[in-house]
Amino acid sequence: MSSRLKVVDEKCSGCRICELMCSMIHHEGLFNPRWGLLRVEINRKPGMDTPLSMIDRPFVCAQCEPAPCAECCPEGAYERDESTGIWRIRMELCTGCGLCLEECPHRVIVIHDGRAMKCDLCGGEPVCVLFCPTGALTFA
Amino acid sequence: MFSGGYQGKILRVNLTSGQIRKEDLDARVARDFLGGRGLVGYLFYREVKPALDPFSPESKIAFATGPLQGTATPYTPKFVIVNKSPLSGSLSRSVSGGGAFGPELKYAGYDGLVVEGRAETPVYLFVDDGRVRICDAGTLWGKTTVETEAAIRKELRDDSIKVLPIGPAGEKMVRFSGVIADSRAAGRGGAGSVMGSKNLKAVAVRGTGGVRAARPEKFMKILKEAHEAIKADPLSPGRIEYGTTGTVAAAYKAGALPIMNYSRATFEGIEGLLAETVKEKVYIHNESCFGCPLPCGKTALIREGPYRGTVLQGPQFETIGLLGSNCGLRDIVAVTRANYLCNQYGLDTISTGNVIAFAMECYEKGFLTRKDTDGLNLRFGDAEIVLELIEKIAGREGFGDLLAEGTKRAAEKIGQGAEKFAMHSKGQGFASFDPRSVVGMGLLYATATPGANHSYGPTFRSELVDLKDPLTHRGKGTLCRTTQNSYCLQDSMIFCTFSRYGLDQARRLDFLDAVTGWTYSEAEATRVADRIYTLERLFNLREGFTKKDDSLPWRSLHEPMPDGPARGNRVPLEPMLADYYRARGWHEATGVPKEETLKELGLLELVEEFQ
Repeated sequence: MSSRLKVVDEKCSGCRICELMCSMIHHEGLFNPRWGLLRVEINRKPGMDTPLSMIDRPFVCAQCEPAPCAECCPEGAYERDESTGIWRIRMELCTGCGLCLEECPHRVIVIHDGRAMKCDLCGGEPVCVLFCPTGALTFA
Repeated sequence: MFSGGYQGKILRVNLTSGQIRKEDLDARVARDFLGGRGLVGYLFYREVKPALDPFSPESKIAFATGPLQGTATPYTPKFVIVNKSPLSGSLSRSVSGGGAFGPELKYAGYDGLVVEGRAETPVYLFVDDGRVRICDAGTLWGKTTVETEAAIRKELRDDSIKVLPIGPAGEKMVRFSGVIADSRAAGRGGAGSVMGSKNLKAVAVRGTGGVRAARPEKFMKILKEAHEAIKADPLSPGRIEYGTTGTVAAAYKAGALPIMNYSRATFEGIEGLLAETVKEKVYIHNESCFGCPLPCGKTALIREGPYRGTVLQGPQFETIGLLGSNCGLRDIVAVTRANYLCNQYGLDTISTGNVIAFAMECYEKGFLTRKDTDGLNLRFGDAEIVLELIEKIAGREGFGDLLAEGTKRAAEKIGQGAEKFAMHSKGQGFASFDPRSVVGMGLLYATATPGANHSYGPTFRSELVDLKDPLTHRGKGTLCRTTQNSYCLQDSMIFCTFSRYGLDQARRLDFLDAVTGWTYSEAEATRVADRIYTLERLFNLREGFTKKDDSLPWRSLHEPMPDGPARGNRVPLEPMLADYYRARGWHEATGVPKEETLKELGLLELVEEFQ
């Protein structure tokens, strides 16, 4: 089994550094968390019965198998690297239709400059984990 | 030319004419003033005519970022709001990390937003990348800050939009009302009331562009090192565990925590306000501001009693001092509820606690009676009274209307010598340090651009830890210049004041270099800070301020501290002022900057043109 990103919800403090650094790495130096290929939900108005782990909560690509994003793609643009288990999008085939965004159970695919983009685990050293200050993200 | 960090654009909106325009930011000005507070000081010195009422349509309010906002530089979630303070008439900046508004403004493509004029009816501004709209806020008027945020996101059908709202207190032009986003206040300096005077209920921003660093490889390298340094700082764990509340015990131990309108230094109920109690009773979760690796914010939830279910960020040190011990409250749950109400209505917790405590002392002394207070028995320590007064102030109802004017104006109306213990400088209420026990804080209060604002360069820690001499005037003039300068830089780059955990000045300047491509030596940075501070001084002098206004109330100068470690002490203001003016290159007798200082700081031409 190849390594996967995992989340420890209760450790997340909602700093969003993971999204910022992911954006920087995947968009040629451009910082904006909305272009990160993972996301953090911030819910800082918890009710009496809200579990604490729900206040700040990251969502990451699980490199699902089977993968809804890949299965729904009308262009067959998704391909899986068998050795690492990473799903990639072949840019030359992507039309930016956005179907995969809707099918992704974690909602971590973005459309940027007319093309879909998804987590590629930074080729094996995910920058989100590298810079997570609280240990809420792990790669193992 | 800009190679990173800056967007190079200032957005200008005139609410009277409806005109919206985008203006280029001059790179030479950015180089000299950095951004944020420094940049707006420069713009306002040129543009804001002297002696304008802060509430007049011609008056301006700026929302500004610095070069670092939007990047992953540690401790840079913040933005500043600069306006003429309705409390003092001086220039004032408030700062907030709330809601990631600053970074989002950058992503929309702007370094800052300057608003002038007055809309005929309530509006909010929607900055949607390059599209900027003035939208009707008729249905939002009267709503709390939290309701306003939610209503705007709903109307624009996007939860990712960042909203900077005022509450009812801002609408009613309560002079110390702030702007509160996601429970985080740009509190001091009355920005909320200035927005209210312009019929501006909120600013909403959506930015889909981004910010780039000039030297991305260097950025990655120093970011990793900085994260490690922050983790390794021995003070970081305590900060993460207790947030800013550790300072309650430190201030109390020094005799500096304000107790019952700064009248004494001992308080029987102190245990109820200490960090351990706050954590146990109300804190439930560590929260970070945007992009910050040190989660010192705390989600708080009241779990039992009449206020069960109250949720907010905080309370923090200053709020605990002012709404807690200064009003005689010993129950952190009551303080938390008071903090919550201030956030909802859009009130600065510091000024609110200051003016309520002042009213309580007036009542104790018989200067106010039940006839004046709508029948309320204003006793120190009564939580219900504090909560009720917050409601009255926010709505300017009855007796609350007097307090909504701030401590200085309330004292003038009450008369009878009440100004002796009206704890403000230039009209801005004291923060959570009694200067008789840490006298450098008195010098800071007296000389800070907007009046007694602690966040213009507190000397507290240095006086206790470095100088080990909090009670005498020695070394305070130089120290105060240094701390004020450090805040000039952090407010202009813009860093959070807590960047001291793991980042020294060299590291901060290294990030500035990696992001902007501009290298500043520490000496050059000091010159920038001196330039920013002296220009603010020139703005105030042009408004008619003189040395006489660099003052403290009678109590600080003449009434010896009755108890605690500083027993018998008063603030030796005059000798500190002389040292301070000398350190700044200002005339000792008048506090006016010397011509040679203006030359050295490159301000002479500007002054000659706009004086």
